[in-house]
This record gives sequence, structure tokens and C-alpha cells, in this order.
Amino acid sequence: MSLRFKTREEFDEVVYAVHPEDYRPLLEQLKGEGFDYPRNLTGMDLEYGLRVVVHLTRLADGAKVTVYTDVPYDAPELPSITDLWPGFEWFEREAYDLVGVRFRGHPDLRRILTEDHWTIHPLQKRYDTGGYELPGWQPKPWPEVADWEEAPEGDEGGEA
Amino acid sequence: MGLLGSEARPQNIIVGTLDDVINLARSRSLWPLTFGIACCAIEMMAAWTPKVDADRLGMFFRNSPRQADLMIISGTVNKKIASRVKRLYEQLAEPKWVVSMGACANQGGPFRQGYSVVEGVDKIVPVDVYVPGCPPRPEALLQGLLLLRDKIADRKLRYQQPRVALTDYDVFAEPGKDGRVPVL
Amino acid sequence: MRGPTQILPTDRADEMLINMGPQHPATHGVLKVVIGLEGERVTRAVPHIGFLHRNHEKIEEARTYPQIITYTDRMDYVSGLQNELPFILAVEDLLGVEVPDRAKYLRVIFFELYRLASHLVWLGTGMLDFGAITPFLYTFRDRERILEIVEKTAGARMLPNYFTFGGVRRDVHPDFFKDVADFLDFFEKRLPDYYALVLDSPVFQARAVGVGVLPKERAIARGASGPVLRASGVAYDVRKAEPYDAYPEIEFEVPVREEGDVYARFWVRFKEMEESIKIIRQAIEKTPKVGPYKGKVPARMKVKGSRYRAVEISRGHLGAHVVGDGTDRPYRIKHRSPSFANLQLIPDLLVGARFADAIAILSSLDPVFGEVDR
Repeated sequence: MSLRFKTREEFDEVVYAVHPEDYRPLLEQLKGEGFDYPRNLTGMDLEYGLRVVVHLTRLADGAKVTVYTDVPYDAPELPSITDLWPGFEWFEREAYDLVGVRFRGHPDLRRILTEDHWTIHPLQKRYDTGGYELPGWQPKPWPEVADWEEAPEGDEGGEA
Repeated sequence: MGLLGSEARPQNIIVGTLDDVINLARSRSLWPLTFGIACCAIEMMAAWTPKVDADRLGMFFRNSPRQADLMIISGTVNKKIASRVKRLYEQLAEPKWVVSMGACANQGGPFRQGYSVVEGVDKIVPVDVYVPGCPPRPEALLQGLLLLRDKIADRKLRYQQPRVALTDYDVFAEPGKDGRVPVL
Repeated sequence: MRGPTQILPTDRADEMLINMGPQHPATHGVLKVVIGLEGERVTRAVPHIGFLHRNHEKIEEARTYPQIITYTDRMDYVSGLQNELPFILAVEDLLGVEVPDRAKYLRVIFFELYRLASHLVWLGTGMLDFGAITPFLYTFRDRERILEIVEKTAGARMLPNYFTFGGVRRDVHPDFFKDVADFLDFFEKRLPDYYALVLDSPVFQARAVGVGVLPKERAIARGASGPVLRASGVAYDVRKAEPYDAYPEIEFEVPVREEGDVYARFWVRFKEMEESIKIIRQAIEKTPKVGPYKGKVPARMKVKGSRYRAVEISRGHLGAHVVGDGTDRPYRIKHRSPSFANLQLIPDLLVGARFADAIAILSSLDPVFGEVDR
């Protein structure tokens, strides 16, 4: 089975836009290619869903890759990659805490920066800076052509 | 003012009221609690090092709140640590004082609008001296401490009440469920 | 779930649980570690962070790009100025801004001055944890001299907000280069004192050698960086791996040690101070005497695109992931902080160690909570 993703060059790194179901298989493949150092894991809210961006590097030659995928609001779930890079354990907890992505198979998915009993994920765009819900906020529709899909007219998938 | 202004007799006898004697002792041996929170804590440490040297004012850091009578709130207080600040304040030995150091402790500073920042430590404990700055220089903190000494020297023991932490700010509430309105 | 402190349940009669922090003089801020003890041995260690969570990332979404530089200063407040750089580099990449040579070298000089200042604070407070008060008084005296030099040019001591897009905010004070050279001469004479007080002291060695050993593979997998990683035998330094500013033109070494214990982490930071002196001397020599200190930047900044840049601050790999949507405010900023990743090592390092060594191990990790919690 081939993985559903598209690549592009951005500055000095290769960017992979990947289907959420192929997120972990692709990262396993990259781990096999020697990308051993976890640089960063970002969770972000795109107003139609949540995005997770993973930055990796290979210490041997300094090659850099970026992998990202989007998940919808009603099922914000991704498989955890803490067993591949244990350094992402707290990064995934932070993405869960602030943005609300749930990582399946994470050893200890608790809130990390805010308090345990909070229910909001404050970095979502539906909240204002103070953490209060914005009146009249509506999610946008899911894009017709996701970044990892071939566009009908050969249109490049754009970054938000 | 106070004891130092009283008439000094040739035999080193000083005449003053009991208030003056007790306040002199208290204001000259303020023992702050070792509790650094954020950026201001580094400048607070710098105030106790050779250049500014607050040690010469009789101030020595104590690691346990039971042995301290002054708390320097040196940094941003957020909702997660607010309950600890409150508890530390309650554990301080009476009489106790609080110096709020820096913009964050005074009113939230640059982080005032944030979802988990308490808009000033005076929402949870009574504050005696506010030191402005982001972060204040060690000299600014030193002046704040001198102001606190003057304040202590003016106290009248007769009117003294035990001081308690404030309770009307629910530090455990999350935004949207605390009944407050957004601050601007 | 509602309440200040939750004690973990323990089902063992011989285990004692200790809450260390958030108010503890040896946690370097507001770290809380729940430590399980069996006699003197640590059986488990559960770190809790977030006591200084200041909502950097959310507040910065509501600020314009130049305003954000002020906020980034306040992350790793011990090495204040260094934090501005990854964010500035990322935005410069997205805007395509050229930085003039003079600004590049000035940035390097300030960057390394703050590395010295930060390592001095670490040395002083770290040795307080070991029970030595003298280094604290010495190091803060030297640090004041660095801050005075910075203040003369930038106008503020700790958090000067001096770097900006395309260069630095204003040209340096006329005395700047002489002041820095004088300070380096002074500091070079001081370093042997610190070696004698700390690194060569048999009392210190007895407490540090062989304590808190971190294996190489674990350090890489956990994403450790900075002196913590290099003390475990990995020569990863962002200044070499992805050079920025004037670092490609400057010769310096990356100190590496294989042991991975507390002593090695102290040793690496000492050697880094020596390297910083070398770097600053070269940079002073190579700085163009005249020339612009700031490149051309569009007056209204419309940033579009996504970029991750990293620099090597005193604590390691600090990154900024900037996502712009074409307005003058960022859509999302994520700060990747080195101490945050390094602190994940607490269970690895503490479990099995002696309780008294826990303090030594924490001070060798050198966390700063402004950037752990952000």
C-alpha cells in the first residue's frame, strides 16, 4: 500500500503533507531513514480542524524534514509517536493541553501546563486571549482539496 | 520620626514608646522568603549580591516560610501557582509583609490578558509595597524595601489586626466558568 | 480533581513520598517534583510543570510582529537577548530580509555576552545547591559588568529588546568595543578562580563525578540539547549544524565529553565560556567599522508562510515555529524550548540516584522556567 502524502521543498527542508491515517507509517519510515533527533512538535488550530506539525533532523548530516497532517474537530485523534522519539512525550502532552489533539497510545496523556481540571483547550481559535469563548465563532468548512491530495488542476496545496 | 528622632541622652539612653522599640526591631530585621517566580527573581538575587548588597539592611533569606516575615512576589502569578502563593502567605509568621515586585505581580504586566494569569497578586494577598518595572533594577527593589521599613516604623500596634489572604478570587476557576468578564 | 496538591497514592509501606517544590530553593524556579524514596534511594520522580505558564503563544497571536520581540525576551530570562533570535530569523526568512554584515557580527557579540552572563548565573545558583555560597557572590559581580556594557548600548539590563528584524535596533555605544575587550581581559583572569573554586575542587568532584549518568542514545531520543547533550558525547550544536548570522565565519570548537555525568555537564559549560571569549574576540576584530546596523524591512509587515528556525542558546536548541497568514499578526507561534525537552530527563536521571544527588542533577540540567512553561 502506498502512503498518501505530497512533498514540497521549503527553504532548506522537505515538507511532507500526509493523510492522518498514514501519519504514523510515514514517520516510522522517516525514523528508518535515520531522522533520529526530535526538533519540535507543534499543534495548531486551523479553524476547520487541528494540525500537528513535526520537525525532525538527522544528526549525522543535518538533513531536516517537516511532516504535517490535519484532523477534524469531531475526531481530533492521532497515533502517538512517543515510542519512536521519546522526546516528544511532553510535546504531545502540550499539544493535547493547549490545542486539544488526542494522541492514541501516549503513555501518560495528561494536561501539562494548565490545571488538571480545566476543560478548555485555550489555543483554539474559538477562544479569545483571555480564554473566553468568542461570540458567534463558527468553524470553517473542511477544504475540498486537502494538502496531501492531488488537486484536479494541478494546483499546489497552500499553507494556511 | 519614631525612635531615631527621639532625644538621645549622653549615656546612650534612648527614650521612646513601646511601639517605637518593637517597630525598630521589626523593620531592621526583615527576613524574606526564598521564593523566586520569574524574571524578577534574577534581579532579586542580584539585589543580594555585592553591588547592591541588601544584606547590610539586616535582610537574610529564609527557606522556610515559618521563619520569614516578608514575601517578595518576584514574577507573574498564574492560576496554577496562586493557591501556593496564598498558602505560603498563610504560613508566614505574623506580623507579615508583602512586596510586589515588577509589573506582572503589580497588575499582570504584559501578560495581563492571558487566560491563566492572575491580574495582580493583590487579588489574592494584601500587598504593602509595589515596585514598578519590567523587571525592576536591584536598586528599585532596594528602595521598595526601604519604603517598607518606613511603613513598618509608622505602625501603631494598638490598631494591628492579623492579616489574612483574600478569598473572593477563585484561583481554581477556568476562564468562562468563573463568572468574570474579560479584562482589556 | 479540584485542589492544590494531589499526592500520588503509594501501595508500598517502605516508600515515602516527598513533594519538592514549587517553593524550594534548589528547583531554580517553580518546578514541582514528587519524589518517592526508599531510604536514601529515589524510587520514582514525577515532574510537574506549568507554574509559570504565561500564555506566551496565545498572547503573541494578538500582537504585531515587532511587539512580539518584547515577549520572546521573557522566556529564558537568564539569557534574555538570545531568545529573540529564532523568532527574528524565521520572520526574516519569510520576508526575505537581508541582514548587513555589521549587524550580523554585533548580534554574535551580544549573543555570546549573554551566554557568559547566563552561565555565570547558572554557576552561582548551581553551586548554591551544592552548599557553596562564595561562587554566587563572585559570579554575580562579574555578571553585573556584562549587564553594564549591554545597558550602555541597549538601555536595559536583563531584557534589552535589542535585536530587531534586519539587524539590531540602534548602533552600539562608542565605547562598546573597548568595554567588551576590557571585560574579556578581566574575565579571562577570573576564570582560573572559578576552576579552582568549582571544577578542580575535590569536594565538588566527590559529589559530581559519576552522578546522574545520561547515556548517549537516551539523550538523543529524549531530544536533549545544549550542554546536557554535549556532555553525553554528542557534538550537536546548532551554531555548527545550521549556522546563522556570522557564525560560519568564526572559528570555534564545540566542547564534548563522553561521561554524561554531572561533572561532565559542568565541564562543558566551563569550556563554553572559554569558547565564548574566543568567539567575541574574533567577532570584534571582524566587525566592519562602518556600515548600516539594520537592513531594509517593509514598514507594514505582512508575513505569509510557515518557517521553523533554531539557534543555540545557553541551554540548547531554542526554536521558533512561525506561521503567518498574510496579516500583521502571526497565526500561530510555537516556541520550542530546550529546558522543556531537557526536563523530560528527570525520571531517567533521578530514579536510582541518592536523594541528596537529586539536587545536584537538577542544577546540572539548568532549567529556566520562563521557557519551560512559557
